[in-house]
Amino acid sequence: MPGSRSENVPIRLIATFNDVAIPGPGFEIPLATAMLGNRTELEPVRMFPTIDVWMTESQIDLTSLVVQKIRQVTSESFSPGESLLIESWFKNQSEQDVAALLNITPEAVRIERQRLLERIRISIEPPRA
Amino acid sequence: MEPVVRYMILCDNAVTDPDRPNCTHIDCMMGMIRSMEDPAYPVVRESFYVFLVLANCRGAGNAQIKVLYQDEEPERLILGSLIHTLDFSGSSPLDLLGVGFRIRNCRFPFEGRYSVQFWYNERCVSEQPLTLR
Repeated sequence: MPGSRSENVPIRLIATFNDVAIPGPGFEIPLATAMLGNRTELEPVRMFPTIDVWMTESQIDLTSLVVQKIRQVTSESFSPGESLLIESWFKNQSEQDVAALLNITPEAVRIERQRLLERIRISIEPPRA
Repeated sequence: MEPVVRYMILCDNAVTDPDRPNCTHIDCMMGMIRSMEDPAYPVVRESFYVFLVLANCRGAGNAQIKVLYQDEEPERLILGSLIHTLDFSGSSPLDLLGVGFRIRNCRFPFEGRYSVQFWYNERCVSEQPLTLR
């Protein structure tokens, strides 16, 4: 098992400047600035669901990409039980562990995983010019 | 030679976590501002913060933030910061260095698309869009 200790090298803040805005030509702030309304609000950034990828030693970025795509396919095209079988494969769970979880034999897990993975076809194309 | 802008984030603030000094937190990212006034414009945003993470920093140079209105041709300079000297002496070009610009009392005359730009030695090095509604 490789080591998993790491730390974030801090981003050193070398300067923070605090300025009153200098208006561009023709946009000088009138004396009655205080009269101008200053009530604003931020539009929220809408967050899409996070895609989790479990990295293992043998995976490279391309593998992660493929796993991510397979997850999308399985969630749409497979039953929850089938998705669980494939997901356990991504997680490197042993056939024995999954068999115990599903109350079937390890051999049945292996055969079913094989059958499911054979149903998935992935093509990788170069980016369009 | 100008620095490479690794990140340019518009937000309310960026702070170093006092309990985890290796972490810099962004406070409330900003991309779209809505006026709550009637009439809506002009409107004053009390402040916004431009957080830059720079790499390939060498020597020293002059840095400035400019905000341009882009829904007209030609683009119009609406406001800017003062020009500040950034002195990178003592840093390695491989270091990631943070620089923050807080700009207060920002008067936005119109709704529409703006560009917040980081200028270094009189060249626009990076920009981020900002929409006012």
